[in-house]
Amino acid sequence: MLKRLLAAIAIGLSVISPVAVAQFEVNINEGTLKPTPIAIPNFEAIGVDPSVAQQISDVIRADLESTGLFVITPEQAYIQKDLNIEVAPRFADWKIIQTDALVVGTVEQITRDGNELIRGSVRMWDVYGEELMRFEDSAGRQVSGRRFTTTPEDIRRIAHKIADAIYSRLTGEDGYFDTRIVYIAETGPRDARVKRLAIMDADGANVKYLTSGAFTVLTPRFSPEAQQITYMSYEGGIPRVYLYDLRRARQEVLGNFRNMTFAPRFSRDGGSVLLTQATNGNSDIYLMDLQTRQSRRLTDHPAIDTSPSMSPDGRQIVFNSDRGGSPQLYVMNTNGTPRTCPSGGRDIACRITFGSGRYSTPVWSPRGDLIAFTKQSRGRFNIGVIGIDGQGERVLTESYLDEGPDWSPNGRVITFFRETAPGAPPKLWSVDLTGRNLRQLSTPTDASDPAWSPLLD
Amino acid sequence: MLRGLPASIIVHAAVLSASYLTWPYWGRSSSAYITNVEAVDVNFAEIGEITDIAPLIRQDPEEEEAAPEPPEEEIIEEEPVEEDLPEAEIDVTNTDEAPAPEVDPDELLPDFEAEPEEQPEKEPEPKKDPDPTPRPPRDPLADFLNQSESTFKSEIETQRKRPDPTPPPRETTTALKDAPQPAETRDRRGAGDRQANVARIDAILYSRIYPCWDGVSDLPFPEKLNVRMKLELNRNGTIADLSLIEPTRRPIGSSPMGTAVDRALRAVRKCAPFALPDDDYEIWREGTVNLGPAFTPTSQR
Repeated sequence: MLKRLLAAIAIGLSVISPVAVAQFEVNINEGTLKPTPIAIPNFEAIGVDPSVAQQISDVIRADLESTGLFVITPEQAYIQKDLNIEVAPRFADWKIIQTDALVVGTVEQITRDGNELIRGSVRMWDVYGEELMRFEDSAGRQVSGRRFTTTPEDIRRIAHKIADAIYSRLTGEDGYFDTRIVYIAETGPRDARVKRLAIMDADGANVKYLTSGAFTVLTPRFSPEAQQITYMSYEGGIPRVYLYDLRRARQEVLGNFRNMTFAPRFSRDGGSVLLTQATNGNSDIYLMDLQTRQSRRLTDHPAIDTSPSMSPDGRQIVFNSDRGGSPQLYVMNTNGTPRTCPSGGRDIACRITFGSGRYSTPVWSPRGDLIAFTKQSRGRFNIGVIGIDGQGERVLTESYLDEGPDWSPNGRVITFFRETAPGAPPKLWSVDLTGRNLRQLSTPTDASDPAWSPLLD
Repeated sequence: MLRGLPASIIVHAAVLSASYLTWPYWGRSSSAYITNVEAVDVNFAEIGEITDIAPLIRQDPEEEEAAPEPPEEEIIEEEPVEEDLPEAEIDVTNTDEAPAPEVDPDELLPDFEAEPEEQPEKEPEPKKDPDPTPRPPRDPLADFLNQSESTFKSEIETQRKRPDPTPPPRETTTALKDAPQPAETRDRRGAGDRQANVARIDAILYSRIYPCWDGVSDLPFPEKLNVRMKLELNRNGTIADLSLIEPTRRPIGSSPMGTAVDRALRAVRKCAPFALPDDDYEIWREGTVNLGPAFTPTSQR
């Protein structure tokens, strides 16, 4: 009995003995961030012209490659060519060419109610895990593939939606391809510049002009519902904030302000608009309810307060003010109550920028943790981001003139406009939140003041 | 009386001392004690494997199965263009008015299972005792001892029966040449050297997995995205099993942690097979791989 007891104790000790656990343990805290290799063979055309499937495949590849997060495996490298959306691929063939993910899809024509429609379907494979990568559909369900249907004229949206699904699955964040950008299209000589309100897909396709150019327009901003745009127009001789209804193609003056109004921006719920009214040389910020058309004054200070932007939860706004002697960024509660400032003390509005230079055009990130801004310092302009408590300022770009940042709906990318030299034409650019992947957006004319729409439904 | 007192004290002290020195051996034969020493020196790692034979935490297939998986179909249709308002063409959101799909999506995009998902093992049904006669009360200690002994015996049997896989020719030399090497790389077999061999294996695996790990610095709140995995390797360096420890499973849907898990699993799979010194297989047959900002690199420990 005693012998067996001792043996049992020995066996028990073996489980906890440190000597026995002669196992490896590998700890790696930082990775080598590099684009994810992904293969997107041309989607199979079923009952449609192969060029349609080719076009959709091209748009998906271009969307993903534009992020800088993916590298598309070239078709010449493919070993397996007999792909079928219903059959698992030969993973070994894709491992050899070092592809992390494989996208397989079809494009087909269907008829519904006598209308011909185009349908795109997609599945994605984890090559090294040798398993299907499940998507999450718009209802939050786990699905093995996704499918989108539209009219033949609008097949690019199928591609954008598929690209969003792939992006979301591989990055864990929402995509931003099925979105639009509204901007100011500029034409003509500098002393007689024509500025029109324009809108395009996020990849630069489908440019349309919303105003004639008879009146100068500036600073357009999208509603979170993507059905309205607010902007400033000189129509009527005095600058005022307007509201443009995309569905009805109508515009109207916003509010009954007696003086100049400018720098509008929607609240996050789209129910109200922040704007600035200038009275006798003093500018203050107002919040107008779009239902009641009643406005409430948020700042009351002899200094210039302008460029308001609301936090995602609607509780705070960030704005630009020279109340400290130079243009800086301030944060306040939307209800106007005093708050504890990061720099100490309590005040209605707390200054959050203290670096050298002049800060302007702040925009609160959709994620809620950062504020993008324009900074002017030593004759150069920067686009940068800073924490909402004023910590962690990072400059992302530098140029002769970089201005007017706005966030992609997932808070990953910032778009802005740039003039590379005195007299150089303004163009739209984008940069990743990390400062990488600086790209110029293609527009048919000179362009400024870009604003990103939310993800379309 | 007084003369006898010192003698009594001396005698009592002698008895107590003798008792103190010999008490640990009372009731034990010397052979039993020696057996105990040998038992302590048993291959603990092997027993540990047996006691750890239950599969480590894996992604729960039940929840995956329970989640509805109807292929999703969404309709994107343009609103009819008003002739007098050409700008209305830009209307981009009209899904509210989109008709429901008429075709059964299951027929067109059926749920796809590349591999049969793991089914949870069923609990064996308790065997009915054919003898209805009540048994005498069992001795828990005796049961425990019997169980331990049988475990030990079965492990020995398992070791005897387990075929020793013949390792294919591997590029061990090349691997070691490329890997970060400690100052002394000669074969170590002493008790203290075992620690150094573990460190050497850690360093080799670190150098192998590092290039395949993309990191999570581009994801939101990366400091929270740490993935701990259990890696079991075959003798030929291929992966026998790779499972999650922390988090216990991949979060369903798209999320930063889901992406971190995907990347971590892929990093290990992508860099396999691992060329490691065959002599140290007992060290590298099983271990932990930790990927994420919270984990200090092996090289900096």
